[in-house]
Amino acid sequence: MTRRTVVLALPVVAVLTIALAGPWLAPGGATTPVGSSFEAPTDSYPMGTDVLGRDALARLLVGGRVLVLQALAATLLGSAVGLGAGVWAGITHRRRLGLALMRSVDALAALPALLLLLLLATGAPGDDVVVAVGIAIVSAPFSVRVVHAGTARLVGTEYARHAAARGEPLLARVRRDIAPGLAPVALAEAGIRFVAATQLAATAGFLGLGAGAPTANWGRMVRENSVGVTMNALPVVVPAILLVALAVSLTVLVDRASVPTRLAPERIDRAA
Amino acid sequence: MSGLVDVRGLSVATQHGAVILDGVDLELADGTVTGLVGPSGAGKTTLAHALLGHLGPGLRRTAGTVRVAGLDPFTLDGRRALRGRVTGYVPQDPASALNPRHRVLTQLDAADRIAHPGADRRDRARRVAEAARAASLDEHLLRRHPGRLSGGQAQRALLARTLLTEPRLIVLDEPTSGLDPATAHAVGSAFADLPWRPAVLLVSHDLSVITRMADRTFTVAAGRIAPAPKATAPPAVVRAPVCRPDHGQASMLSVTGLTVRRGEARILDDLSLAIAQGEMVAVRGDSGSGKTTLARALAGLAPPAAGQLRLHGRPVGWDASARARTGGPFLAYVGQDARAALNPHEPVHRTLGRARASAARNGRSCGWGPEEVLDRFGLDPAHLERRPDQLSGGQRHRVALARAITAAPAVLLCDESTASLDPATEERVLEALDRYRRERGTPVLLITHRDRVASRADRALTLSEGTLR
Repeated sequence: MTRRTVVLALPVVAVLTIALAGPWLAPGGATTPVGSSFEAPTDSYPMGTDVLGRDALARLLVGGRVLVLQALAATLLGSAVGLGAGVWAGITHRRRLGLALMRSVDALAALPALLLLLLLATGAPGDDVVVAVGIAIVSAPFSVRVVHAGTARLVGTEYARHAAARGEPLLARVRRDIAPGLAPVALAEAGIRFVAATQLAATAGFLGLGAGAPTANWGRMVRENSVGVTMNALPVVVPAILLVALAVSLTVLVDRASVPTRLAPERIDRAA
Repeated sequence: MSGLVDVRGLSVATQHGAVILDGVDLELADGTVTGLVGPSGAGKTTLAHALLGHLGPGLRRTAGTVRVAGLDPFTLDGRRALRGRVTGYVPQDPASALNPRHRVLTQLDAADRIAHPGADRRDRARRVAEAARAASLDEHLLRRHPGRLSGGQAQRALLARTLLTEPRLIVLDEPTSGLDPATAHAVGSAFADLPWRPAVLLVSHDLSVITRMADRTFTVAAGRIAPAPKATAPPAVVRAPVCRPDHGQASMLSVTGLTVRRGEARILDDLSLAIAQGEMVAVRGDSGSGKTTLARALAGLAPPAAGQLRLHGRPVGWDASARARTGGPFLAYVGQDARAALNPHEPVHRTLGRARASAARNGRSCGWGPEEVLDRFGLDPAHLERRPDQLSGGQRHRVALARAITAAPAVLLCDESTASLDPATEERVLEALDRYRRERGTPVLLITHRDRVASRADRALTLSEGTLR
């Protein structure tokens, strides 16, 4: 790992640490009022208070964990579905079944994401797990598409066709001929989807889906406190910045990991 | 005398310290053609790449300098100034070097746009047509996508693209390996007689091309370069007796009515072929006559429009993976583009291990142990740990052949598999194939342009106008 990668990884690690460890570090209750609405920062409340006079820092520390866990669970679930369905549809010799699967995935992708989320959340109100599953459902079709396209390209390569002609078992071909070439694509796609899932989870919080009102959530913080942004901007700006920092630095990191690194010519010169 | 290229004491080594080039000096002047010969894996391509400022993965320059037109190709700025303007490069494995998504004409136009930005459209069309003519590339081929070109045609398309940019230095790596002798001759004379008198570096195993084109020749062996002794005339050609396929004899493989269409054109037209147990048959024909199409159809990689294939009298389907699923026979194809045929992520030992495992799964065995296979194809056990991009072009071809043999195929189809090997290695590989088919009784179909290769076969057939004769 180069020094540059470490620098790029810092924001991701920082945001994830705040989100996951935050609830343990929170100074006091995140749901009890400690003053009046939108008080400016003080020594005891470094981020001031929010719309109901609660400690904004405590709410920030508490409100990230669910969001990040939702996004992470949705990404892993989506990747599992995407890799399974995409690779199978790409490599199977049962062309029609593969096509049928892809068409049904397309139908799923045509559903508006928010509508589906709202529908699921109405069916099971106040459940964070349902939000995560909903995000996975709306993002999985894109994963299937990308993985399918990558697999189809690799299945068409000479070496993969030779392996099929030799009669190698499906799993061996997937492992040796498909997986190494597919890994960068799948990784980059999962990275993008994690960012999108974070945004969707925040949106779900913003809309009041998932766990009910007094619970803190970065997305909900942005919505609740946007009315008082002129009096105390911190409860809106800080969660928003954390979400953006996570998204940007994660995409850059994933790009670095997924693009094959070549020995730069300058480095060859230095060696000489 | 102006030294366009000046290489001084160039040494290149792998990360583990193995020496690829050892203090190489080379000077190329404008208007001269320099030939580079030597055994497979000796470092010829590495030296050619060094002129472009590229080194293979895991290689590094340990000493020496390279100057092309006074610029250092190993610096970013130097490479940028040289690439496409001063230096033109035609790589091995031509099919991998063309963009599969664009027609040949589009790619030639793009090359001309680099060389002559803002030129008149009519001038551009004229220059493209001239370059295509110089490279012996028929005009109707310009409308095709690279996937519909034969190996030799793709090679000529690359040559035409290189000619368009009028580079002062042309680096040709095995430029004629996929061409029949007449076309190779025409292309060779075109390059030896270019009006802007470029310096040409020609890497080739084909001594007849080298002797005809090159003003002087160097041998690369074990990383060192030395002037080659005056090349002797190619050995007298022994022609194999040409005879028609004998349908009366009990044949192991028989094809009838094989027809492959591409649009309106019939690439193969009602073709028949019969090969006996253990027989080695050479197939020759002009570049683009459909030799590769025939081999790929037999191998099940490009199912034909019509025709029937029988092995031991039993009908066999045309799709390779369907054959594999239904426990049918495996017809191994070893093609011209060894780079594409090998998994770039896989070290050689795994490639061969997989082939051995799939043979064992079907209750077959090639009869040769892993070391024996390596030895027969002149591969070193040290190559086992390498991935394809760490092998030379000739080594890749031999790995592809070794893989095919290890999988114990019912029929072996070799498509110019020895075209990029030096004569000694080629002899060794042909010897291995010969021995294998005698030991195992596996029929071998050899597609080749070269008399020397064809003379090893029991009989030679010529493919023209869609049929074998």
